[in-house]
Amino acid sequence: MKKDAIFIYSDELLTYKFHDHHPFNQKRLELTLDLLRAHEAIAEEDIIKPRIATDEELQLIHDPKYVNAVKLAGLGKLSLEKAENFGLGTEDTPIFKHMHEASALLVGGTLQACDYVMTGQAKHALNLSGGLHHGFRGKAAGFCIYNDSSVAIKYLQQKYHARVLYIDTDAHHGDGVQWAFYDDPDVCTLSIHETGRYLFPGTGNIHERGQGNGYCFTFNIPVDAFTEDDSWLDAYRTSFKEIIEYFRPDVILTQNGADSHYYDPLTHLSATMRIFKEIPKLAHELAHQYCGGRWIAVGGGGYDIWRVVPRAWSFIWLEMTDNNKNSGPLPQNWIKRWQTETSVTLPATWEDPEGIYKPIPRREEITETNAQTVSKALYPIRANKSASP
Amino acid sequence: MIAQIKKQDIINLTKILIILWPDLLLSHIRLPRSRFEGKDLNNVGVLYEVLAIFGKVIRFYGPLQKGANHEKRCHIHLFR
Ligand SMILES: [Zn+2]
Ligand SMILES: [Zn+2]
Repeated sequence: MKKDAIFIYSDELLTYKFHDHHPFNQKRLELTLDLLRAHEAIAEEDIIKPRIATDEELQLIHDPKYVNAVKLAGLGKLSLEKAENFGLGTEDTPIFKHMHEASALLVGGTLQACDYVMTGQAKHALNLSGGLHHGFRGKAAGFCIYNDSSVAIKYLQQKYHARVLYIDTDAHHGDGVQWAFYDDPDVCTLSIHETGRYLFPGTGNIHERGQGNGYCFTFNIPVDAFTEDDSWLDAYRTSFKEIIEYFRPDVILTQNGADSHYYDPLTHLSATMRIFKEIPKLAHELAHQYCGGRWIAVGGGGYDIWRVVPRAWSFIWLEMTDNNKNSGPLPQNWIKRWQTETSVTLPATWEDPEGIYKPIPRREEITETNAQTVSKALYPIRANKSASP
Repeated sequence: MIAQIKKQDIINLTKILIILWPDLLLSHIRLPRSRFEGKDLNNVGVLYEVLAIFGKVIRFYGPLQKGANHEKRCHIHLFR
């Protein structure tokens, strides 16, 4: 029987862990699933255990030498000097025990999500452990080792001959996925992120549009620091709708980093829960409109693991399962269970209350700048449209 | 944008930059360290110098690391 959606999870996914003080913390997965359970929004048969990606699958994107280095690093057998050449053992992406297995497992989770959707066993699939968009062919970066989205896109191309639209709403530029398909006209990428002027990785300029045959199949919308909900959503809705109409994909892969929220400690945007409810809503609508429902969603960043990520990521699942119980108070038993583990006050409701931050003095200027950025980013599509009869 | 930045903001910012990135900051400035550590921050020439290096420091350090180490994260809250 065809399911509306499946949720990829097993406790082994929590082994993707650098160290206790590192901001990337997969406890988020546990907190999210527990919130969905407390909300009675997920059944045990909706949960699918991830499989581990094979070396062959990883090498759809990654250099065999790099895969080997990750394996050696996880066994403590890679010198620091060699590790550095592969972006491993840095402050951002430290070496940890069995890092290959932990990383290959989350890639396998995303591949499984692809298989469920492409074989019609589920309309939508969610792997919140994935979305590690800074991983490169031969290099780890920005908390990411293997790039599950890049591997998945290649996999979708080879196994299912699918044209993939990749939408990345993480606050950081989706550089790894962009560069992996920069010259490929059968993959279209859109990244909406905080401008690289001040934020890692520094790329994602509007003028990065692809090259060769892939020219005009890469889109970037770098929004200003302190961008708020309305301006962000305007950029998202406008660009997603115009790009999907232009590209007409077979399947949509969305990366759902939850680090654009005002509370996020690593970034400087001023979004609230509102955008996280709207992001999956539009993806869902467009997946049904253009792709027969085929929609795979992965996680990504998100460093306020208590106040932001569980709610933001639950919204994706609620949307996938057409569950409209997405406002009002959060389940008391969830709050009770986890409040003892953190010093921050857990949110009481699905939405943020009004006024969680002081008014942004440059709001008007920021809104105007972002609107211009959207126009410039979409210029090739609009110019093409007005030129055709 | 520059016109809207208050002088006091730059002074505060400079103090923060000195604490966070002393070596990096000093390697980018031509003025002696002492001028940044006290009263000379009220000097307009010094302020321009700080503004110029502010851009460089951000470009140089901000985007290179994502910031697993909190001290090295680049924040721009004074420009809200
Ligand atoms: Zn991010
Ligand atoms: Zn649906």
